[in-house]
Amino acid sequence: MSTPIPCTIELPGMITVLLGIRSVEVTASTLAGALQAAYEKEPALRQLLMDESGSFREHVLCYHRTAQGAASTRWMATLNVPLTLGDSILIMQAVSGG
Amino acid sequence: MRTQLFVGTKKGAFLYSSDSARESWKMEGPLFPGWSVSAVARDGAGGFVAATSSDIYGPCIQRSPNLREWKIAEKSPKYSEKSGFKFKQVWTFAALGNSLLAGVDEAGVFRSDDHGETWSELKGLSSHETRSAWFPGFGGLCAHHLITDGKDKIWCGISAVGVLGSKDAGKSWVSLNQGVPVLIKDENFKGIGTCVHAIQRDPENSQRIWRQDHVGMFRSEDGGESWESIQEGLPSTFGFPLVVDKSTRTLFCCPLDSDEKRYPPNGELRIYRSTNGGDSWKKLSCGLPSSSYHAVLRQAMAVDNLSGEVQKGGVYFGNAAGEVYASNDLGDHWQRLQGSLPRVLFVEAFVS
Repeated sequence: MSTPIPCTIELPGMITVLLGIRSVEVTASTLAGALQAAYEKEPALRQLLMDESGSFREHVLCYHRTAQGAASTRWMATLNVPLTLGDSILIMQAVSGG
Repeated sequence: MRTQLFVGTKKGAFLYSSDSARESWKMEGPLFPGWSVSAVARDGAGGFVAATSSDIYGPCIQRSPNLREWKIAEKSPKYSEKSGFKFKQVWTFAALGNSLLAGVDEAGVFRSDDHGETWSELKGLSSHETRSAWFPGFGGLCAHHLITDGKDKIWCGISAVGVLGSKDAGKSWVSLNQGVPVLIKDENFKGIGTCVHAIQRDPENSQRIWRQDHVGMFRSEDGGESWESIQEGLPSTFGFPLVVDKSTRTLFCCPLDSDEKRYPPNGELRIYRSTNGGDSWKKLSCGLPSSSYHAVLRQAMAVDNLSGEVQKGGVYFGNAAGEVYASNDLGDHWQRLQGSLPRVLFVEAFVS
């Protein structure tokens, strides 16, 4: 088990409207752990991001940002991905078209 | 007395506050900017609950002490994963004793015993023997109206199922649609497949219930066991909102041309009023526009019940064009309030 490190989870504007915060600061050693810590800190966040099955809602995107770039959780087999100092998490809404 | 109008739209809510004559109005908002706001009610403890939803982030419950400052409830209604049902939107709130009920899409009713902070499903309704034969209307499979006797009796309007009633605070339910034409016939179950649009009860007699249905206006004198048409005098059978002024038992509705066109007949936006329980209807037009081709949606009409010796009750509605209209004399005269809002989903009036 690696050492827990501080990590910022940045929230989209529509969620800021409801919760009054732009981000959540947590300490965790994995991506899954960071999200779980955010849900414990802001309990309403879970229902905004997750559906009945415990998966991200269909149009919610979650990116793990590292020094190498940003990776969408949509293409990850597991969220038990280690965090490195300097990593952050970005939540976005998948809206395209016009 | 002053009235506050809470107007929920597709992209936020707006609050209109009146002077004591209810002639001058001040608008604030948007609250919840960008969020669809579908219902609001008193929470039974001096505060308020509202329902918000987003196509991205789903539905949630909000709580407020004053209609202006809101905080998201930690736990919104939620079906079990095993049920296969999804909670998509709250359509209505109602009080039952000290509890609060929420009618939702997909069709079901949830109950809160802590003024809206947490919710539990009334499983007797969503596991009703006819549930497999429920089909959504154009607006979804939604439990959109709840009326109660304040104690144990609940009537629930579901599109496109009909009215279901409970005499034991929601444990068991029976269909209450006899006399209303069925739109979607089911091979196995009778008594469902009607398309109720709105229900209201007589404030002095819970056995008398009015119903705007897909196929006309109806009245029941026996708590919903049977229905008779009270359509005569209305220009069409189709429409959505139906409200009753509690102080005078006056009914208001807004007929639309048809289920195909869904706009005011001939483009004349008119409210119809009945002062005799639906035996006859009077067209109200003073201050309302012609050449108006926008619907008034299901929950988008409200009353403030302020009729008394020196004043008449207020009636309010909004339409899909984002226009809000107000009358301070039971519909005799109307004024359009300031603002061109997003599509108005509901209007609710609070007196303070």
